[in-house]
Amino acid sequence: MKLTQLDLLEISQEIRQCYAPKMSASTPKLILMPVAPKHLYAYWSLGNNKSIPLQESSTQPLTLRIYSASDKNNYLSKGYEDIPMNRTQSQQDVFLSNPTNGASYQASLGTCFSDNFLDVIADSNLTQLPQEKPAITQVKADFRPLSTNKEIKASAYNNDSGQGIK
Amino acid sequence: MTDLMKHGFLSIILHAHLPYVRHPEHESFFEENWLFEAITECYIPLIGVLDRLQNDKVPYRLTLSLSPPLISMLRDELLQTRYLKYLHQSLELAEKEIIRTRLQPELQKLARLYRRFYKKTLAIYQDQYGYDLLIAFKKHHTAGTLKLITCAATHGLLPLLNISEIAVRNQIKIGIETFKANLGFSPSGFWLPECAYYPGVETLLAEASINYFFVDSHGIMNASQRPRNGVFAPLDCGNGVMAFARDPASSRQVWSSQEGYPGDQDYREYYKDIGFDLDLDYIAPYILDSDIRISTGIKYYRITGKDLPKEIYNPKKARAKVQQHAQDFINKRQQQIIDLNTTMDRPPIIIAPYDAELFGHWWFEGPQWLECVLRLASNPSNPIQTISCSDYLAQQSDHQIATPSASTWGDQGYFSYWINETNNWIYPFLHKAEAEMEQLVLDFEGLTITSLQKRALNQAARSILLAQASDWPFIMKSGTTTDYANKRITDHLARFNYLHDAIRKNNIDNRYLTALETMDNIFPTINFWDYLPSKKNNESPS
Repeated sequence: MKLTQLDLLEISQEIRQCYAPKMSASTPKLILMPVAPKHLYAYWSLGNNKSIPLQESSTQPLTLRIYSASDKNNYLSKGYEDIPMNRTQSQQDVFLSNPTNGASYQASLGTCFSDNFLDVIADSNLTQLPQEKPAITQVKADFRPLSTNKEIKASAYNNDSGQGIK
Repeated sequence: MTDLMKHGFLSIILHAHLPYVRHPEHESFFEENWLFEAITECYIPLIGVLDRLQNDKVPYRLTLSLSPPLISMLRDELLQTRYLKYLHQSLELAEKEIIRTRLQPELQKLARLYRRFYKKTLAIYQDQYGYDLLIAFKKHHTAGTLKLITCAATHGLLPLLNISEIAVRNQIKIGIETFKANLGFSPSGFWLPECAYYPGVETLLAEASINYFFVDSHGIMNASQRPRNGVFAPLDCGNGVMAFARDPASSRQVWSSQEGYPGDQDYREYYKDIGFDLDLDYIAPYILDSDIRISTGIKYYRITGKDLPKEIYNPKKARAKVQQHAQDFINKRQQQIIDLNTTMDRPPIIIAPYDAELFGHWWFEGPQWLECVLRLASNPSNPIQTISCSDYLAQQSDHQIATPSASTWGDQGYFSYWINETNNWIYPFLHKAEAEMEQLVLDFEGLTITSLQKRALNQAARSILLAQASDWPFIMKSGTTTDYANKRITDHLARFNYLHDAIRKNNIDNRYLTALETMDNIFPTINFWDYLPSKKNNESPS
């Protein structure tokens, strides 16, 4: 089958318009991702049944209860950190106050009650925090990648900051 | 010089990668110039260096990582044709410049230099290697001087794809298969995209018969056991796969904006290009849509110095500086080796990895510097010997066992450049598409599959891989071509969604599928069964 440039362009545009990514999940889900030694990124979905009522009527904040994998079995007694999460969002950066260097972490997302009971909506995957690095100067990333966007090129050109340095 | 002083190795690794940019749906497409600029300024000059070293019988060793998207683009007929047109345009502009600068002898001398440069580029590309630069790289690999390795299929940042082990496994497996299909042999080493390591990835590398990979310095310094030899010997990850670490000193001398060689005042200024300087009427045929100023590659000035008026580039002075900087680099490595030999239990290996595109594109004189370094290092009176990591491992045994720590060579050393407020929105979509693909393939297990369904499933896998490229979140953070990066991620995810929907509803349109196969034609032998959750090998289910 022979397609013209115009055919390709039209099909590409139509697919982009009709099938652009949208987030939906029928079941609750929580994903943790490593970012830096004290920094995780979490995203979640509350699932079809809970998302709308929670956003509109519940006054209880969402809580991310995060614990190192080794504390998983006794996390109800101690060894966890509760982080308030924004109910109107579906993703948030998570900064741990006193993490174990390089440890693996897991989390549960839910509503926390006064007795610290967490009504869990979703449990996360296991993720490992990177270790704090020794004091070695970071030397990469001074040079920008091979990219030639016209506006940026122009502004870089006007920025008299030296060879290859942005 | 004592024997002890003579004992030490330098391994220079160039990582050559560009995202897959190929747009047959347009007559021409601006971002395809990324490849064309890199061929002209980086890859062909590098081949020139390798050819000269071979002609002079210089016993050097160099490692070159060729990413699968780059391999695919270098072999692509459409891009080869478009590159030839680009090169002829550059040559035409250089010719015009010789005429325009006839009353400015200093500039005209440089215009003539550019004409020679483009003519030589054309001769190497067209006549010597028949539009196929992989032939050139393979020739030097076969000669034993250049070690070729590869990286992940679309340069996916593996620690952020690791929500699914299958996603990581396929990035590795399909990357290696692409390399093998185009170069004819399996690579022994693997470049983790952005040196992004997480504990456990070595298991998947071992599955793919990889012997070694690279991490940044702190990946080794923070390993599960204190490294006895610091960053100057590899660690065995516990399964026989070796992790080599970047030497911070060698990196700083080349990469650093403060101390690095490329910022020297005698080197060519990257940003002062005639595309921005000359009258629009004159330069119009060589810029974007005849009215948006872009870089043409013709630049007449040297860096000169901060806040000083730019002076005209003097190639002779730049060449002298190249010699000086190459000698300085070698002297510093010699001193390192002498110092290390007093404390190490084995010959040190200094790992010096760089982006290949730095040499020639950002740093015009970079290829000359590299040639000089390799020539100096090959001098028998020199205590340094260049080596590939495979050869080092063949010579040395009994490596310390430890697991490196999660790390990248990017800004801050971890993952924050690829996951932050500018780009974190992509990950839920990437992970969702991956999960849907795996479920889809699982649902097909045991069923009879038509050839149309097979094509659609394979195309869905291509869409996922293309969406996973680390280049898109990188560009979103760097703030350069963000619209294009957003468009690419959105397009690939939309194409996956379309295919997923069509396959699920058994409503695959051959015309639409053909269009997607034409536009995203990477990985021609991809096998969607690789996405079957229980599957570790590449056999199709019976």
